[in-house]
Amino acid sequence: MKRLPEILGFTILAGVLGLAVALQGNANEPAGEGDAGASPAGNSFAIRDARVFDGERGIGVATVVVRDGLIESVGADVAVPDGLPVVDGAGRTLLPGLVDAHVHAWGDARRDAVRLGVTTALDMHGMPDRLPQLREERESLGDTGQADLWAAGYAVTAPGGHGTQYGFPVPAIDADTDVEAFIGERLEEGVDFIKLIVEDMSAYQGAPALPTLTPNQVTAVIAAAHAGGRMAVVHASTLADSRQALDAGADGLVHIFADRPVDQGFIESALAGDAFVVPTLSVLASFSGAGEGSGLAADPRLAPAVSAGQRATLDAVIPGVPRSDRLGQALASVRALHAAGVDILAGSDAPNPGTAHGVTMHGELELLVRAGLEPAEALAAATAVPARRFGIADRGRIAPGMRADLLLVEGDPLSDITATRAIAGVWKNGYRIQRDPAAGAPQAQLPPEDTLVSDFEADALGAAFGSWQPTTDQMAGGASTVAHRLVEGGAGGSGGALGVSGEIRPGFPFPWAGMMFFPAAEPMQPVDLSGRAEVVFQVRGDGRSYNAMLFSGPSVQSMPATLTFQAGAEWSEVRLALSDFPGADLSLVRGIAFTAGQPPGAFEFHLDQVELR
Amino acid sequence: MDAIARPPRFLPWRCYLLEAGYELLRQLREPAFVLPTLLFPTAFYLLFGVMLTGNAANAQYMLAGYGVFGIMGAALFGFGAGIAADRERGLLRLKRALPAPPGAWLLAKMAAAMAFAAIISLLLATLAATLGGVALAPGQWLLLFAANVLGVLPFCAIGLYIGSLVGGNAAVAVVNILFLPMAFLSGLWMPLSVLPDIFTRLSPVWPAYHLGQLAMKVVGHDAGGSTWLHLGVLGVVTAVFFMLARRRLAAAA
Repeated sequence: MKRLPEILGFTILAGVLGLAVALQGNANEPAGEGDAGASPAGNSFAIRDARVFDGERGIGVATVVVRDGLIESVGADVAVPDGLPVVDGAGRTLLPGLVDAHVHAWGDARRDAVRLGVTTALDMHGMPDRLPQLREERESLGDTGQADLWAAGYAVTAPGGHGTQYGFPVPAIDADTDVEAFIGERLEEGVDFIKLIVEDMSAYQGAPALPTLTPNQVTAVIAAAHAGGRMAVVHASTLADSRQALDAGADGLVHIFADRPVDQGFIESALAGDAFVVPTLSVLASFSGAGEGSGLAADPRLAPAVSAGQRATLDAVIPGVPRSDRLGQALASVRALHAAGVDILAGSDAPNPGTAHGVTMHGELELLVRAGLEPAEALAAATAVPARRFGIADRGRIAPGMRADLLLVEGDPLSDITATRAIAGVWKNGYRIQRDPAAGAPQAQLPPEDTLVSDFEADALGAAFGSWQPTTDQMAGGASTVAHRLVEGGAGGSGGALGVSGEIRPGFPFPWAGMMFFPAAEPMQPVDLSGRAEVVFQVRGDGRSYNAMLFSGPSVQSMPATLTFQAGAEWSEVRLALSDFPGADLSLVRGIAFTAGQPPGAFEFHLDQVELR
Repeated sequence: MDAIARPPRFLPWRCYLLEAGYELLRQLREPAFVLPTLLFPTAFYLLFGVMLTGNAANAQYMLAGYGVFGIMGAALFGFGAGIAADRERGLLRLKRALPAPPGAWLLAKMAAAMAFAAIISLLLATLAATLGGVALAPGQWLLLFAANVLGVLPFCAIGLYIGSLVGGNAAVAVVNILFLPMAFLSGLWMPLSVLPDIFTRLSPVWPAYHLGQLAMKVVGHDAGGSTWLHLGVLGVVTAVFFMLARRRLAAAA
């Protein structure tokens, strides 16, 4: 009897704890990271009682049913079918996945973007090899885990002009180029639209002048693009260049100029041509030293989904730029354009310094509201309007039949636009996106059957799969240089070889300069090479010792595994077993670089018959 | 006649305050207790939550988990070992004989435990904000602080019960065997998903799990359980252990 209270007490305790285990015990399983309640692993679910913004306007509280990655029904009186997982939308707002109308995407860009609610992006300058794969990915309804991309391929620019400084060769238009044939080549590469660069740096005080397209060339390119059935959009930094582009028939401008305020003539040209403007206010804010990027990085609502790489570009500052009122002028111009009825689209120009994929769109929405757009109009500028202008039919709106690219946020962005940052859930093709930057390992594809990577016989540098790019320690602060060209007289009497020459200069503790082969469609994306045994190539050179560096593993930034080889005066075959590369993860190979290292000095070697056997 | 001296005004709250103040002073005068209690969670967090962690999301999770770990330690050791030692030395019997309100010594000890919890919470928050790269809204910082300070209570209750059960020596050993496994199996140090399935399922058995989940709710890293469930379990644990301990201590001569 003395022990009765004790027994009673512990019985109650056992009961309560047992109840807790019964209710909660399963919630800690790895798959259950539910920040919006139930976490559907499939692509069919329903979101109940959320305020819905359908891409054009808020339609009030409604239930949205998604089946097999497509929106099945939307409405206040829609019943949730039995058996579907339900996400609670009370107190939250459902938006279409955001469309970023101006990006430069490589590496983890698309994965970073989708974590922050940007499910589609328009790439404004890059290599065309990936275009067929991009088309396949955006037509698929699979669990891709990254944003879809429409791309311009190579931006059209003058030789040595803006756009040619990014380390990959860009075909350019000079005085003698046959513009129609040039655009024909671009269309054959499979570009989705044509982008022109008109930039002589005159708008940026202190920057060296660059060659650029002439007005006649601009007109010819736009005409050829239209003849080929593609839109033409233009990068221009001055009022004069932008006006000229509009008068030449440009469908849109992908920056707002900030050298002088917009005038009535410009507005009339824009309206007459039904052109749109992507003001990219975020990068202008970065140029005017406003510190918007760092502010976004520090926002606690966004922080859990932001990776170290995104934080780095957000905190980066464009060196040597004096503070100015670019942003103020740009805001005034956008205000005037919007008031006159010109379509405004939201774009980030990520990952320029001060911006980052995905994150910056939230800052851009706030800047658009500061420029006079209502929150609903700013949201439309990031969803239905870019979808409409670029002819993207299956996304940008929440309606039956649309793709289930969705963004659920806490609160009401229609009253406070910054509510978009409080992300409760993101879905791409109906599949939930994990918020943690470390989640979602990259999908490593298998390489094509070819064992021959490159024999350098063609007129241009190419590969059976993947691509070649120069690589130096300048990206790490060093000073080494490299140049490459196709040379005559390859190994075994073949026609051509790859000549790589340059100079190793002191600067970085582990200097390197050479050429890197990327096996995937996009540089630094992983490919599964565990089925291959060795990399074989022919080399000759100046007798120096060279390095083969294998980049692999889950992180884009991990140190490469290195093996050395000699380049004698005569062609010799080098066979390096892939398993000999110390610490390499052959199931996630991102690149193989052939480089010179210490000691400092000039180097030259020729490569031929590169194979992965 | 006014010769009858008026008795001095009896201010009960002054008794509690005095008792609490002296209890805190007494604990602070034992540096061998204070320093490890304060430095252990701080050093742990510095090592695992700041230096060995990858990104800010991890650092937030760690801050919530190590905060709970720290205050739990302060409560269990301070109460459990402390009460057992006091009971052994006959101090509890002495206090009962003193003309102080009956619950004053207990409330005093709880206040001291909450003061320690507050200091630990502040130390961790400072480390997190400066070195750990953790950025939270002011409301979140306050909620985390409140969760830590109020969260000592269930563990004070458990410590009290242990202290009423066993002698001073044994109390330290018992607290140890309870404290570290509970912290580990409640997901305070690393996400529960890294544990074997059976432990993941049984984790809601531990009060530390529920307090940990409340702290993680503040930073948005919890497993989605209901706040009321966590609060309910903690409330029942506090009540049951306090009741049982009170019975024991009242009965013990």
